[in-house]
Amino acid sequence: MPGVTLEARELSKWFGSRTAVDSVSFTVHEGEVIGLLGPNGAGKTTTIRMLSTVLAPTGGDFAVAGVPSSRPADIRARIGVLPESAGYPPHQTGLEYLMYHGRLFGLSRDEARQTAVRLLAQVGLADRAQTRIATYSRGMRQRLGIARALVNNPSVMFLDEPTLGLDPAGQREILTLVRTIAEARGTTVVLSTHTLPEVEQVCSAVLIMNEGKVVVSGSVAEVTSTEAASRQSGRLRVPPDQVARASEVLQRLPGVSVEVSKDVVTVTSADGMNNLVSAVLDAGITLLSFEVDGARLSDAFLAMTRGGTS
Amino acid sequence: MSARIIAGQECRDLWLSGRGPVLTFAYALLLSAVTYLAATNQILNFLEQRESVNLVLQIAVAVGVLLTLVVAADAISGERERGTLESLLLTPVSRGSIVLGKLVAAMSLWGMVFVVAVPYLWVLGNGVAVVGEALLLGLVVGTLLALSMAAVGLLISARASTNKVSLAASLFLLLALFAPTQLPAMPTSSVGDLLVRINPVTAGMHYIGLVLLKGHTWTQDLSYLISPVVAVVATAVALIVLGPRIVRLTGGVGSG
Amino acid sequence: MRLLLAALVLALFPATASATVEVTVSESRITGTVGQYLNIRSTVTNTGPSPTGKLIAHLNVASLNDVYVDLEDWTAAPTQSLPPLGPGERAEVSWDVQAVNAGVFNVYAVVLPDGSESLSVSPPIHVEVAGRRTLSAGGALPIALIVPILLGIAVYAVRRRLQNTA
Repeated sequence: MPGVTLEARELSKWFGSRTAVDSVSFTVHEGEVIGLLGPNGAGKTTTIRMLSTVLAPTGGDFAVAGVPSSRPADIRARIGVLPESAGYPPHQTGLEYLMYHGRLFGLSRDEARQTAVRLLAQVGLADRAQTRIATYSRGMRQRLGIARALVNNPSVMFLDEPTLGLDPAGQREILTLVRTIAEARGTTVVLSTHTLPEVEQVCSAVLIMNEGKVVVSGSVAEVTSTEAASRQSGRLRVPPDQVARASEVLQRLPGVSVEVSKDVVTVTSADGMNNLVSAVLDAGITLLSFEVDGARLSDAFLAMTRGGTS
Repeated sequence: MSARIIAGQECRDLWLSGRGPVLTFAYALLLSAVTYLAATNQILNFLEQRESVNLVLQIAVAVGVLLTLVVAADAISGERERGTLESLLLTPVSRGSIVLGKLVAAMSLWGMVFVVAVPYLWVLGNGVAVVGEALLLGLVVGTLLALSMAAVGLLISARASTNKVSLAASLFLLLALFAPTQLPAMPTSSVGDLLVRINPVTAGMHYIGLVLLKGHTWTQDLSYLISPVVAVVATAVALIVLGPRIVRLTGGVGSG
Repeated sequence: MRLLLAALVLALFPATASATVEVTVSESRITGTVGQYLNIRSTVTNTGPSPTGKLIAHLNVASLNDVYVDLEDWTAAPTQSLPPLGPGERAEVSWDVQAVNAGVFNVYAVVLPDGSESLSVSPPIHVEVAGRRTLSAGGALPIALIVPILLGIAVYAVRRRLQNTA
């Protein structure tokens, strides 16, 4: 088991009388990519800002890469952060921007230039290195932000909504980049995102927050299966001309309730889903698709955050 | 070291891609118009060459202080609103270095304003051996005022909830400080003299007038420079003490 | 360069024998040009054996060549109050006056003691004020044009640079 690289203990943050984060504790291991999920206002960004020392916690403490929270400058030297809705100086070129931040992390001018050139190539912006950031698309800016977060070769990266506002292709691009970075560098990544299907692909673990608290944490499989086991409903899709017959067959089964909509039959059963599928197939009905509620991360997310919108 | 890097980048942002050249250009147009009118003596009915030099110097100092304050007032709250402050706060650089770097960048505007004023003062003061004195006066008094106003601007910028609030508060403060310079014969009464002396702007401007216009020696009315010097020291101490605490991601009183 | 000179002449009124206050001025002769500010400094000394009451120092300007003098144009505050002086004590008092007319003048300070004592008057300062100096528009115009042009070129260069990196 790799060592713990990020540890939060009873971390809390109040803004006046409002509790943004309430006694949050968790650990993240070296090389892990953890998805930080939760609806708006769950406390994800505040948690990331506390862990990246931009906000001072009201209570609790934490350690990043073995450095306690009492040494914020040392922590900042070891982390890379892509803040939520980060702004970029429009007049600077990508190269100037990365060089500047490299120098702020103690690199010499030459080192900063070499690092900037390498990172721009890594995030696919080599051909735009000398153009102003004002001309970059949102996706390009996010990639530039990720490059900036890597400028100090961090032990831990915090990416706060890196796919926000991007089209599906842009989201895929960023998440692929995150996965590549995590695999190639062995960097621990804390990824706050709303694109849950991608989290299932990229993250090895998830931590779901709601109303400032951690409601569940663990591997993606653990979190998903826990929620799936508690669910006993699903949707069967059949050809439109067989919908009525499917409904009739299913309603004959004990303890089953049925709702019909176009070619989808939504069923709830106290005895699980297997007997429903068997009954439909035995009746000679063509089953086009079958989906059990709770089998996806998004279901777990919605259930645990009481349907909160993400 | 970090402060130098920040100052360098801020200066590049200001002068190579920002508002610095445009502001200086507009200021030069103003000085050109005033200088030409003063020199031709047709519209501004000046009695003496020293008055022309004094007028241009006072304008240079006033505009220089104004521009320095505006840049300083935008330095932190503006970055906050543009979303670029967070990435700066995420570097291992101390808050003090951030403040110092931004102070230097704001002061670079005063430096440029002063340099641009030199040829105007030279052409107006040529022949009455007053150019050197005017330049030195402008440099000393202007730097004191610009430095204290830049520090005040940064403090306001760090504390303001929005950039608009920061700019509005800073400009109001400057207006309040400059307004008494337009009142006639303030120092003729003891209360008026006290008001002139405790306001660093009126005190500095009055001192320039006394030395340049009325021919006083530099030491004769040195006490007028007490409040500008005190203002610089007080604002510098406030920046050093408060800077690390108030330069943060969110502005406004009581913000976390 | 110099057009006119005006002179301020301090009218010296000999102090009477009963006066206990003596007024002196720092200079006896000043030359300048119209519009120039002149700093008149004087010292008031109690030469008597007893303390004075509150004193009032007043500056006056008298023309020696029939030029009209309106004292308020020369200084906004010709009269200043002085604290009582003990025997042998002295006080400095100064005026900034602007020579608003060309000509020859006498400038003098008068101290008015309390009670029925006589006025004390300083020696005069002879002031010659030269006429208006006409500034050279020819000298200012090139500067007034060249500086904005150079800065305008700088602004243009910066804009071009930004466009080139777009």
